[in-house]
Amino acid sequence: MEIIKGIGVSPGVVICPAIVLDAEDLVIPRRTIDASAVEVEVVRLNDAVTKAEEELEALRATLVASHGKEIASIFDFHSGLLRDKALMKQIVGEIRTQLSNAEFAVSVCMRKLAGMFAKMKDVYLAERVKDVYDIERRVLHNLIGEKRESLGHLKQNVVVIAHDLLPSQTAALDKGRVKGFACDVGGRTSHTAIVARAMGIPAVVGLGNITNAVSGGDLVIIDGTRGMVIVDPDPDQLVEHEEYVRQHVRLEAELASIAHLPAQTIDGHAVSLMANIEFPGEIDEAFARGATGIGLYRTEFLYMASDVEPTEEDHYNAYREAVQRSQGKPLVIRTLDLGADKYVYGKTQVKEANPFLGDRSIRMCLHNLPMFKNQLRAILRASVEGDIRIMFPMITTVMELRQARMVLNDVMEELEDEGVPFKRDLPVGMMVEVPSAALMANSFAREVNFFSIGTNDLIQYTLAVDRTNEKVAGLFTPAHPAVLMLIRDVIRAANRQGIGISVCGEMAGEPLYTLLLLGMGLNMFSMNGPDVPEVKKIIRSTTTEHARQVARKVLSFDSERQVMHYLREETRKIIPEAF
Amino acid sequence: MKRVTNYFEPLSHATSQHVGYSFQMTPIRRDVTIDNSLGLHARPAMQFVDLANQFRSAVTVYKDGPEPVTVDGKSVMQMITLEAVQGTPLRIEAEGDDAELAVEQLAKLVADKFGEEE
Repeated sequence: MEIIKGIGVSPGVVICPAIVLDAEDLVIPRRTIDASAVEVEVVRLNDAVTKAEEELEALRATLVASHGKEIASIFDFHSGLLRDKALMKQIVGEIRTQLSNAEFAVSVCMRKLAGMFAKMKDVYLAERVKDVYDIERRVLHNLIGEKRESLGHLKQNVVVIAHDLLPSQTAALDKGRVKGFACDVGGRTSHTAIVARAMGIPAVVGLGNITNAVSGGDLVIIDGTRGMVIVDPDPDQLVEHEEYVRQHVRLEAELASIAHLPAQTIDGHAVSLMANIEFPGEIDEAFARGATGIGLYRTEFLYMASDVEPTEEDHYNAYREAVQRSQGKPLVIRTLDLGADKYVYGKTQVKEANPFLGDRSIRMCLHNLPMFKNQLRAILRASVEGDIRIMFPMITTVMELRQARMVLNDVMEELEDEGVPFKRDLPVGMMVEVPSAALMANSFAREVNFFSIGTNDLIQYTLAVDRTNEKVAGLFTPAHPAVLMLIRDVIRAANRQGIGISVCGEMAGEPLYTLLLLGMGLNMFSMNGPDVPEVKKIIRSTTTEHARQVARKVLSFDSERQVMHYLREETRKIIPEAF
Repeated sequence: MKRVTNYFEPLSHATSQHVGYSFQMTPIRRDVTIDNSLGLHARPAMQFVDLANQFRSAVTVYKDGPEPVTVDGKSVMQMITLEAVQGTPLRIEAEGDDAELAVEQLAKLVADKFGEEE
């Protein structure tokens, strides 16, 4: 039995056997072979490589079908390496001259190659080292004869243990069988966290060395709510957690039963609960959970899935799919918000001293007009098929907003000249996530159709805290009175001007803040799909008057501890099992 | 057209191996510059290698500099190790009966920036 503490990034508890991904640390024993066995080893090598190629081809085909060709192109380079005669010659040479077994020869050559990649100055190329490891694993698994755990077709429920989940790995997961994630590294905004929340399964990251502590087949408890993983649990712990799981299932079932009831307070005040998504494929699940629209469609994945810039058609296909799946419900598309914390796309490799205060998001778009225009054109073209709304991230000054709108107008004129249909009056909004924008909300409100408060960045910029830095992450909280005052003022400005207002940061999906936001006059919450039922339950259990009282009281406090303590008490009265 | 600076000394070893054949084949060479913004990263390298493999000729790529590198133009592994970022001059050389066509098409692929969008 071993308890390992990490960061819980997706709530819930699960007890399941584990499969361990990532075999970078596979120790391949060197076996000296007899000279007469050389040809046998070469044949084994060829078979393993051929099989790896077939596996890749099959994986690629399913991915093209389910996620489109951008994601599938991740594997082009893998296939290329497998087909590389020079590389194969090296491996065969290692077998022939050193009389090594095929496994060892593969491992030696691939490590050498990985070492070369890792040393490269170009950040993008150095990243390819992961592909080399991926290929090594694939060939080794075939050689060792151990069935490579095919994540696409699992026979039983499992939890996935990995160093860090790669997008290519999560894309291939059998979503019905994977019940939890635990990773060595990562934070709240890592890919693993986002995918786990979208799938509604528990996940714990930042566990240090979980991949070493667990072997495939071990029974593992992943407690995403409390941020810990128990490997090979004692009978007592098993009983305790099984009870916990049952409770959780009961709550889930109860929440599912209200999925299609309106999100309105006892006194009949209705609000909208929307979902945040990354892929069009998440929309159906979000609606099933009771979301009544998509309040934030992050478009970064289009840029991250491929080595090259997505074309207008790539954008258009994604948006068209999203708007069709939305079935006439609102779909807020946020324009590219890359930079700083996210994967830096090929072009920009100039190191910035302060990336969070640097050339990111709308700033980067305004510096890369052709790229920005591609995205805007695609959004406009898709707009004729439903209720698409466009949102600019990280607006800091009024001039920036006007510039972005000007570019949008240019694009509209171009489309008009070309006779391409689009919706001229599609609503245009902005994220309020920089304190300057929050403070000037009254001015901004006259120039847009809606605001969406991005609490994650707003908190970080207001409190000067990088929450991925564990030494100061404790200071990061939406409950800080300064943050709350900004949020209150933005909501007030929007309501006074009669424009739409939503919160799309994590705060919107945390039940702890539902009463408060409701009481501040918020009427649109946008969150991860799985959070919708719980937030709805709170809204359906309170009155506008009560929420207002809570908000008034909270805004009279001057420390975040008082705020949290009070909110916890008030919320517990409604959902006792929540905390 | 961008002028391509010739960084290379004439390569003497490449022809000498073949002296003695009645139909001595001279390698075909072309100097090019990697012009696409991302440089010779995974996808362009794959495109280059896929194209090179369509010819019977041996394809070799040279990079000059403080540490000159010579690689097999049919190996993506080796092509990547060129670390050819935007602006890197390279020499493409092919030897074989379809060398002329190979060099021409490979040089065109580079000149067209691997179809990368501007």
